[in-house]
Amino acid sequence: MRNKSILKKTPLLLMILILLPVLLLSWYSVKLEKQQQLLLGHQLTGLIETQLLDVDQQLQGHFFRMEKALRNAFDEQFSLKGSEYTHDRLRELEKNSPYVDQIFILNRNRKTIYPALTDSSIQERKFLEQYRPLLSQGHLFSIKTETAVRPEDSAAAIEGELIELGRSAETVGIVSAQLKSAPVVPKLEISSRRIAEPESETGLGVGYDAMSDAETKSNLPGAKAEAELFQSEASGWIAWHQGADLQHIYWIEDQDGQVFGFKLNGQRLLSDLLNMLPDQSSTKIHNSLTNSAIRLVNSQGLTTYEWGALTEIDKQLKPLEMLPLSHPLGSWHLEFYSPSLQAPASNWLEKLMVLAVVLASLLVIGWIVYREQTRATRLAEQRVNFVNQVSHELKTPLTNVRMYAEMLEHRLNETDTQEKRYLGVINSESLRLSRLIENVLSFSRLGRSAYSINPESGNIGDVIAKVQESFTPSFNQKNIELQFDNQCDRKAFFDHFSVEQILNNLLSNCEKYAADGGVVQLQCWCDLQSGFAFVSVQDNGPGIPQPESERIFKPFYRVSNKLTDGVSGTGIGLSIARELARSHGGDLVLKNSQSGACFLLKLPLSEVSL
Amino acid sequence: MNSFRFLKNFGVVLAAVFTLLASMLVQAKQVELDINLATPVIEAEKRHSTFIKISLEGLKHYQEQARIPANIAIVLDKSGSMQGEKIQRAREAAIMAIKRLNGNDIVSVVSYDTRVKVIVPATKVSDKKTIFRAINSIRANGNTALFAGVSKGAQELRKFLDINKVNRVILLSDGLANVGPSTPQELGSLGLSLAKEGMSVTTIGLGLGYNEDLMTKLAGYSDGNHAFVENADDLAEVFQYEFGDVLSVVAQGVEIIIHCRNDVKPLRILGREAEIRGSKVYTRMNQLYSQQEKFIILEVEIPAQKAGSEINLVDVNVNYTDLYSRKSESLKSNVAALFSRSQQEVQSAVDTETYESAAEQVANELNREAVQLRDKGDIEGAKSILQKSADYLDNLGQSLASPKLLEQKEEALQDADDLENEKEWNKKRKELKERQYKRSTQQSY
Repeated sequence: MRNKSILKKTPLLLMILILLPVLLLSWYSVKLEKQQQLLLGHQLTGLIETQLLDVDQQLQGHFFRMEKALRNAFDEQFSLKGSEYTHDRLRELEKNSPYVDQIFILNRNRKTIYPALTDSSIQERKFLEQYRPLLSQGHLFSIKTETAVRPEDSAAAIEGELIELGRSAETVGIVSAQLKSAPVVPKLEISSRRIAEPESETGLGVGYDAMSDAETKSNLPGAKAEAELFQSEASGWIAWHQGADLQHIYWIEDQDGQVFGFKLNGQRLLSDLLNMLPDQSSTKIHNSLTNSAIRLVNSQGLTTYEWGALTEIDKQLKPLEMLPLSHPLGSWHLEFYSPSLQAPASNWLEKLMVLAVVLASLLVIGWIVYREQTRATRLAEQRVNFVNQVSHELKTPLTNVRMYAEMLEHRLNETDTQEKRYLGVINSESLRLSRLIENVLSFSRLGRSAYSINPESGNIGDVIAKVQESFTPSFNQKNIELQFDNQCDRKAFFDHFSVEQILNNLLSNCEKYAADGGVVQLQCWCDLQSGFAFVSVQDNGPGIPQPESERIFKPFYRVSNKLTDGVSGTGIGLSIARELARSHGGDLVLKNSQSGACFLLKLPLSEVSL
Repeated sequence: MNSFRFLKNFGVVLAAVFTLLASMLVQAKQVELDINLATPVIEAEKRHSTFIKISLEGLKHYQEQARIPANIAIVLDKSGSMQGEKIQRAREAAIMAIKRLNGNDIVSVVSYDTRVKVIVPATKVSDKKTIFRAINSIRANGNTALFAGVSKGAQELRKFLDINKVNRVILLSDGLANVGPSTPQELGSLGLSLAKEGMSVTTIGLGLGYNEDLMTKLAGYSDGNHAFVENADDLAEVFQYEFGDVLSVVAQGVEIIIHCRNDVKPLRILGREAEIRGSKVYTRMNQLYSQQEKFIILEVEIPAQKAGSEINLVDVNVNYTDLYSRKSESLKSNVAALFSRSQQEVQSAVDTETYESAAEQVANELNREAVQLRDKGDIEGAKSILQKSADYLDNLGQSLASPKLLEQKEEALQDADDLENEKEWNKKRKELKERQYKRSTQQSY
């Protein structure tokens, strides 16, 4: 009966065996993948940030070069002046410099002394008008206020608002650090002055290689020295929104306390900044950041420039990363776009393949195991069926043998002792055979759960007596004395045939193994309290060792020792006996006894007897 | 100068003579400077305003010499609106134009849509096939990042920028700049900066979608050419003209400094950007072409003078770089006026040709004003200005017997009529802007 359910459970078990490792494996790989993604995500964010910072650095670099060039221009003007800056020279500079729109000079009291209202051109008058609000705020051009205005504030620049950031103690630190890190000595010439010697390759050219970057490092000490010089004089950048335009002013305070200011050509500055950024033919966005684009966005949120391998930025796409630019471009920012970086190309396929292979191989193994197992089961079943069939076929001839043997016995005379003895042997042997067959059939029925008992009220003593009677001839032959002590006066509730079979099995065991003991004691008593009748079968044979006391009830189990060797047996008798007892609601156990083996059969008393 | 004073003492006062002598002085030079007064004889004892024409002409080089090498950046708009025939014609035009260049010239090609791409980095025109292949790979789509395109074009020029080369960005666009700076002022400002470096930007507007203000401002501030090409089929021709101009440059970096003498007050310069400071006027041209006359018209106010007196009005200094000799050259000249009570004398002395040029520029200015008014929606005001311009031209045309001015009068009347046509205005405006630009810069094509 268990066999059947095991058979059904086998595929289930196999499936679990197969799926469990696969599930574990996939869970683990998913977890691993997630971790990797997270790590990769962090790395990417880092990469993106460095890249944007790099761009910011580049743009800052331009401002530094510009600053140096402006300083050189200033130094030139400063060194040339007597007591006053010569306006002609200033105008010459304005006229020839592609970078500077307008120069202005404020005196000690921060009054504008150049360009003067008198003797001014239309452009100059326009400039004075537009920049009056700026120029009237003299405190913007000194260092004291600068410490109060933090660079961070510049990000929050609103249109028309002034942003001032000079060289506060803090920013000076930043500046010199950057100067050191960037081996760039400006070759920017602020004015493309007329050529004195047209043959020379320079001339206008001086302004041209302006943006061409690094010089040799040998020039660096010079740059440092200049940087030190710079710090002795106050200077700063002012970003100023004039309408939609962001204008830049660089100012220097000279030794006399006058402020020398350059208003840069905003469009030229922007053009130069854009020229520092890559175009589409040389998009060198980091290798692992392919399929991305960077946008330069101005203070009004409009795209000024964009580049990258990602050819079109979808309108719905949100920037992965935003970086506000450093002063004096504080109100501008960079945006990094990429549609695919959230889910970088992972090796999902590879992992899935591994999982699939594992799953497939496990399935194949499982299928083979299952097939082998079912075949074995089928074969076993076929054998059992065969045995059943044979046993069943044996029953009919055996019944006939017994019947005719009995008939013959009745016909015999008292004198035919020899014949009677022979017939007794035939009888007892055929009984034994029928018991065997009965056992085999019961066993197979129990296995198929096809065994049904029909309990009815009866006297156990009668059954025991009947069994005793049937065993007497064979016991007599082996000189075993069978004693029966019936102390049960109540009726029990049992299937007569089954109990008979149980006792048959127990007694045939005694016959087989305890023949030397001489005496087999049968006892029967009732326990009204528990409501059970008990039958004990005690022999005086070699007994059964304690560790075996349970195993002997297992089918096909036979105690192996000197005693049992050479004695034939099927090994199913005790197992059937116990099953039958249990199907009554009772039990069959091996009791401890000082000598021999003692089996105790427990059967329920009939309700009437209680 | 002394020679002029000497002449003055002899009473030989005709401006034509001065001109002749001045031209004789610069004979060996590549550029000829002419200064003419519209009214060489001025009514005495009265405040007057008159026009002075300062003209510069590049001379044809007498030697069969290798021409001046060019450094050209072609900046092509490849935005979505260029799709189809336009971009194809543009590619063809660029290729045909480049065929005229040789191994001493440098060319670069930049294309832009939303982004900018340097198609051909600045390179000597020796391997034309590679250049053409790159140009043919241009396909149109996207937006119009005009500012960045011009920036990158200029950047390519800078790689080989040389005062002794003709450095030019040729910009072709058919649409409105919509990525990056996009106002005429912003682009003009960039053009000014490029001009200071010795580059000029020629702008070619294709079709009816571009911003003619932006394109003329950009060209104007950098002293390049400007053309309105309505039909893409004409692109090749315009490119040929443009390259013809580029290849005929003889002088660059032309600075003109005018000092007004004897209380003569400069009022305005017609047609060109100039800086007037007190009695000093400063203006510049990026280049002079061979056999092309470029001039500026200066309007001055002359205080009352005694009859019979003769005074010097202006001294003019011109500095430029001679591309053949590779030397910085300068020219000097002046112009004087004679004062007389006789109306007849005044009338007969009028320099027709100079007056004609001045009138042309005055009418051109009025044309500009008319467009400005039309932009504000004041069609009537614009028409009345054009009518005024026509009357002025008619009046002068009759008295000077100038068919040229009468022709311009007809043009003004036609313009006045066309102002009302709302449908055709977009095209008309582009035509007007182009014509104004060409008049004020004496563009050759």
